[in-house]
Amino acid sequence: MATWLVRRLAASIAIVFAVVTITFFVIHAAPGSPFLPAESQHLTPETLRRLSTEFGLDRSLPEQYLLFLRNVVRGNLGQSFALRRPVADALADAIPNTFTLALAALIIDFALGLALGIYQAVRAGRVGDVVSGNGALLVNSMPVFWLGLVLLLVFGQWLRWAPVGGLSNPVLCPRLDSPACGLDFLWHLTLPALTLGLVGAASTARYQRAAMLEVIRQDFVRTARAKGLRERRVLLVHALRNALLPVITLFGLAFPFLFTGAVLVETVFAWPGMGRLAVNAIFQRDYPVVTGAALLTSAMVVLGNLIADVLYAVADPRIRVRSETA
Amino acid sequence: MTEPLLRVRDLKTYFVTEHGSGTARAVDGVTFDVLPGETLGIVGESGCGKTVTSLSILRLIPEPPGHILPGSFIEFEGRNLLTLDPRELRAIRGNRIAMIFQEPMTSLNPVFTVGDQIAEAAIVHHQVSRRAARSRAIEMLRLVGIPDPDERVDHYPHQMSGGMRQRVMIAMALVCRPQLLIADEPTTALDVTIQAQILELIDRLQAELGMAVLLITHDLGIVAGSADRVVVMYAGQVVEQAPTATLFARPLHPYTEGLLASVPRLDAPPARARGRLRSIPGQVPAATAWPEGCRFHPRCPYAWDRCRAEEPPLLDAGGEPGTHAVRCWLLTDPRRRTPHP
Repeated sequence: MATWLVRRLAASIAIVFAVVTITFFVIHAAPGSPFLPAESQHLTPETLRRLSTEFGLDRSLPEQYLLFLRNVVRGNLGQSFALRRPVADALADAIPNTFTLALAALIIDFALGLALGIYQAVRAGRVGDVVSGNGALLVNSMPVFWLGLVLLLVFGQWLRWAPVGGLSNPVLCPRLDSPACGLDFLWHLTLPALTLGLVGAASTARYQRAAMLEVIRQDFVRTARAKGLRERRVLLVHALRNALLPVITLFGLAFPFLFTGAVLVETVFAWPGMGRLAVNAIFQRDYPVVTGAALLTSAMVVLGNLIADVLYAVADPRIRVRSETA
Repeated sequence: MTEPLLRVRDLKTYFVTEHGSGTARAVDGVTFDVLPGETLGIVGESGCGKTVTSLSILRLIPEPPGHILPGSFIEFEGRNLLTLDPRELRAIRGNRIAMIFQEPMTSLNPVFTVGDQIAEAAIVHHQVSRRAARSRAIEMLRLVGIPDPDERVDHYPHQMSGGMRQRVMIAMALVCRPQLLIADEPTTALDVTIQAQILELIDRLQAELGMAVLLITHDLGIVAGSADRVVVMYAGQVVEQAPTATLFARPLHPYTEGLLASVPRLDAPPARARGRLRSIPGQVPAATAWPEGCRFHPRCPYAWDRCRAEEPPLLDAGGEPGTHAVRCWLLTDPRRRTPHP
């Protein structure tokens, strides 16, 4: 188990390294520079040169890359061109917001997805299954940002049940330090989390339904019934424990989805998170912020997968034993 | 005569086929009794309805596509199992009537320890504490002959061999001391040496616990060794029913005759032992289209016009009254028992 973990950690670091390297070169290869168009910013060639030297942009690309790596190893992610502050600070401000959004979406995704999938499998082929199955397919086919806009329009604009964007009410709750403002924050969180969570739940439900249907047919489910167990216990204990195994893979895959989805949702709902930070940085060619965000996001995705693998071993005794003997 | 423990009357279990085009009459009017403490063997080829019969008793048939027809009757301890509400039925399942299945590899839940799976029935039916249930599980593992039960109780099914797992299944079935054990092909998936051990185990536990056993099998050798009485099934019906010794000494249904002739025998006269093993020509017909008249007539060497037109009832074959019954017109016309060339 320990050697397996070490091997997995080494692989994870390699993946993060590869992602950061690719991001670094791709963003530098993109046309434009942080200071263009110079005319609109009223910069003299003299100032431009000075800025380039200050941020190290006058050196060759490999040189810049090595410099960047050296700084990263030292824990220094560099200085944002556009925000005029350390990248680490900008990320530190954004991370909690994205993390909260992703966590809320993850909870909606799996709570709703699992419940719906189990319901559909148990009612397979009947009205409830068909209606909710097609509903899930519809939601699953929607682009995340479009669903966000629709929810915004319906619940934010027409019904006025939820705020249309931001973290909190800027007048009443500029800071989140009272219980009432905590509630205000949750209220602001509702629509973005729902947008992301619903799309995830739709696909989770489809996987869960298939996994559950597969398991319900198994002999051991019949054994459980023959023992005289309640149907609820047969389904939610004996069948579900087995049907969760394939869905754990989905848990690992949910992290990339949540972070890419967050980019769109944060833009739609003006949610000051990593996604919005990265998008703005890309448009402004704010190289250090882009690479910093890529570093952090890939690390989180890799970590999510690691968690999924550990969960596998916890949930399936057969895997546990194999890794112990290996 | 002792009062039967289980009384099955005119059991009909039908399945709607996948395309909704037809109805498979898997079990079609089956009647038999199980007496307290006895072993009743049900034999027949694959597809004759013996497994569906056994699953119907505890209402484990998946519905849909299956359903047990009204008019069927399964009485156990004075109550009709087919009209019990789910709660009453659960109180019988695993408690008064327990079941073991053909595939020990897939019949145990892979993600729970065998101890937990054995203890579960005791917790559900006898409301014992987890700790007490665990020691019951260990005791059951010892009873079914698993070495180091204190350690094995925490093992998972994949850590055990097929024979071990079937022992665990038996331990699980018997933890509540049922009156009736239904064993559906309990040894089919096991090695021959293990088969004998499992059958001996069932025999021993039957004697110790005083329960009745309904033994479903396609293997006449198993029936000969274990059963007191035998029910032979063909095409969803009982075709012959007799005490084991009578059935082997004097099989009257041509199907039973064929089954017995297709068993290899070491004690047979050399001429027959060297000869080719006999087999029954053809196969069991599809349950969606049983033949008209006697369902065995297309494969029967004695069949004549009456067999093709009229379905025979279960006829009494003499001997002690009510012990030997045969579904065959030959009983009304014994002279015809000479095979056509």
